[in-house]
Amino acid sequence: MHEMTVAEEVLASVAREVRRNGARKAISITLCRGRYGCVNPASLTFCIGAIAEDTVLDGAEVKFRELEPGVLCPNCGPVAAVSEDAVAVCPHCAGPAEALTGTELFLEMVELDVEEDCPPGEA
Amino acid sequence: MSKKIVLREKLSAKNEAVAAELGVAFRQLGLFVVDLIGSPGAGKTRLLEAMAPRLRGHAAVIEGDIQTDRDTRRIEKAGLPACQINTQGACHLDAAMVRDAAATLTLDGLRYLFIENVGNLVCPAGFALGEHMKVAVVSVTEGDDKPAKYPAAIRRSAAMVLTKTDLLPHVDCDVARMEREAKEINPELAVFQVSAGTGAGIGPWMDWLDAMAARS
Repeated sequence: MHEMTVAEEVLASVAREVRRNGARKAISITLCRGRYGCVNPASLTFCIGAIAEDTVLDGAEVKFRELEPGVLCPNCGPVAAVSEDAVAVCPHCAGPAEALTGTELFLEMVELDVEEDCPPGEA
Repeated sequence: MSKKIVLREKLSAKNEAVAAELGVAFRQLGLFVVDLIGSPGAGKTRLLEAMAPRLRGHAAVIEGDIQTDRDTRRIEKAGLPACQINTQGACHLDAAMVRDAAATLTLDGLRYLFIENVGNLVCPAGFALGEHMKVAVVSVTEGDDKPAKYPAAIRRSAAMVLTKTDLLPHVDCDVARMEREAKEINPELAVFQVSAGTGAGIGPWMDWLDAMAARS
């Protein structure tokens, strides 16, 4: 995956949410990735930093959450994967299983800096 | 004051949107589209050359490379219409590049469109091109650990074609291990062993493709 293109998409999505919520800028963003994804987190963070200057992402913290790798076994149900390798085998019964997570990449959460509302009763 | 917005918004939606539209356009033309992915030198072009006699009149090819049109010229010499994408440094094709290239080809009346991706077993796995299937082309000279080391390519492929089998007596390659490890990553993977040089295995591979195309 190409980190600069992804960084541009992140900026576009965050800018949209800033506009929608009348915010000043983003304080932090949380990206979720599957363990077998094609995007390198350090490279993506670098690219976001490179394009963030003078945008709503300027100074925002970039957080990553790695999705727990798991498989869906027809016998055992959803099972957390234990192996480092990307195998589609159930770690409980060794039968064939379908990978539940792996190559996902999504923008999970944006934390925005919004104006304080005036408390009721004050001018 | 801070406000948290939960999105769960998939990234790289742009390429997927272009690929989805392109896929619809290809299906409307009755085309079965295959994206061939594999390392530089795995034998992707050579495989297409070996398939060309049976594909003549029924297929076109889009060639992807960083530089040169050598592969396009080879495919045309083999008797199939082809066009070249030079990626200006990108290490994989994307849907927009394929859309623009497809527009230069006459696709009416054809059954197959093969896309030969840039030689790379990493990035192409992550980019949809509007294809029906990706096929991983892996040669027996690259080391039998490659399926395990490149799981995304194996997972995203419907088939793995093991090429250069005529060289097996000269290399240390356990093809059974390659197939087993690939199927641990992708149990649905169809595996073929071929030699473009001798023609071995090309028939069954193409029969399978015809069956897949008929089902689509």
